[in-house]
Amino acid sequence: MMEAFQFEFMRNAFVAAVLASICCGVIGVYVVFKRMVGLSGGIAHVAFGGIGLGYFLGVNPLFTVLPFSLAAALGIGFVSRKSKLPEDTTIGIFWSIGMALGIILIKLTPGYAPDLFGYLFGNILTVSMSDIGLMLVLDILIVLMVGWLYNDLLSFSFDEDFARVSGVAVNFLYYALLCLVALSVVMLIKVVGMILVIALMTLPVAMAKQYTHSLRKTIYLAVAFGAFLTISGIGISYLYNLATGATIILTLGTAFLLSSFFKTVSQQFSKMRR
Amino acid sequence: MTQNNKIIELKNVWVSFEGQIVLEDINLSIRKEDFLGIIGPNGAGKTTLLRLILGLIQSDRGEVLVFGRQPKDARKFIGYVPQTTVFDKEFPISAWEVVLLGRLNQVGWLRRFNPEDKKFAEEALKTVGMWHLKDKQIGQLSGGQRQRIFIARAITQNPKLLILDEPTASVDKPMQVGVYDLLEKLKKEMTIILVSHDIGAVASFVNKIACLNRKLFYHDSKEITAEHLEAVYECPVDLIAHGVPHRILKEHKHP
Repeated sequence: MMEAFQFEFMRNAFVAAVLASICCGVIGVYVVFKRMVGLSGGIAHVAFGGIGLGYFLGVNPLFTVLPFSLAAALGIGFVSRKSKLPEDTTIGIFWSIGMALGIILIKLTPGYAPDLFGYLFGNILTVSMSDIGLMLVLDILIVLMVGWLYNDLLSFSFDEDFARVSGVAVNFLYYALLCLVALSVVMLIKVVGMILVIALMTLPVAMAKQYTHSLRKTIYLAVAFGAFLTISGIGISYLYNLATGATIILTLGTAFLLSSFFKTVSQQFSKMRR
Repeated sequence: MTQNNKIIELKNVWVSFEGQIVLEDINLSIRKEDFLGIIGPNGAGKTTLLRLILGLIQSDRGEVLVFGRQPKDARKFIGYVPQTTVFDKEFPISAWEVVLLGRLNQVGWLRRFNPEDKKFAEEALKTVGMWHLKDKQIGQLSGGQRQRIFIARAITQNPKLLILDEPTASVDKPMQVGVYDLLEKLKKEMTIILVSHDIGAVASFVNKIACLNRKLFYHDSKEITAEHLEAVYECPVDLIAHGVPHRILKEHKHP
């Protein structure tokens, strides 16, 4: 296992795992507790349209997916707030249209679509130094914003009506969170792919919330769990030659199930002793 | 009564959602130091009326003035206690943090609480008698305790007007009296409006009552008539007046 560190791509993969866990833990907490999981899943899938656009225009898809995801995030957010459609209907519509658009654009592009599988399911072993730089910038942006607006975000997530009445910039926070989700999706495409992004945002948080009643500690724990389990997942995929993105998600999923199981058993046990 | 002690004025206000009229031609003035209970069945538009006063929704027609201004500009004078029947019990937040969030309308651009904010939160928690439970996660409290926490959050803002939406909806019967006793104490310091579908409880504590079911019946007093209740609840009074102290149900002829 240790010889893995000799390879630059493995070292990059481990650094990327930690950086991805920071952004997923911090943003994931708000996605989970503000009940934006469906919305975020929608954004992640619409992003496929952006990938298709990149192929069609003959440019690096990462350049087209960024503006495309941001526009999609604002679009989904706006329509789910302003229209009379139920939020999940809106998400379903955007989700499928985005993916359909991506497929048409890729089919229209002459020749073979390289790396398509990589965008869908990720390959953390191909993360480059410039990717890492980009992730670092996004992490700093997210940590600064959440650090500054922590109390506003707490009020907004807990009770939006009260937050609005007490002067919190509720609309700004809503769209800012959606944009950060979109940026995170773009950043995580390399790590786990757009299909699996949502698992990386929710699983560490779901696990962390079993151990604390403080939002701040939930964030710290989610980042720690995410980093540890993502790195373990990369290790397992290296040892058994499995697809990295999927192995990371299965590692997170297994850990979450085990953690829930032990939590339930220990609660039952302490009830019996009482 | 002079004009200037009216803190809320609604004139011929209409509200509709998707073509359905929810509030019809509402006229209402609320004076300083009123303790007004608005009663009506579920779906009568009670929450809509409160949201209108808070500037969370717009009216189709008519005028809404709160402290002589547009509702949005009057929010700094209002403490709001939302309905808490729908709320995430798993949310990782302590009672202390919830109350402190009430001070978010006072903090500067750094968005941090200072010792003065904490002092306000501490006093509010002591006023509602919940200081000893401040470190509990919000979901671990009982309905009545939680309601006190939300009232504390509203009064950290030093409001001139307290607005409560179904304050006893998630509170068991014996604890409800405690919530009303607390409001009794607060009414000396601020004007209070509460809405409820529980006529019996409201009638014994408030000093003015309005009946709402799309239309509003209000005489700026604690008087409600059998016709009002029948109009509002659309069923015979002897069914719904059960538990209402008789002194407020006077014989009353409509002009």
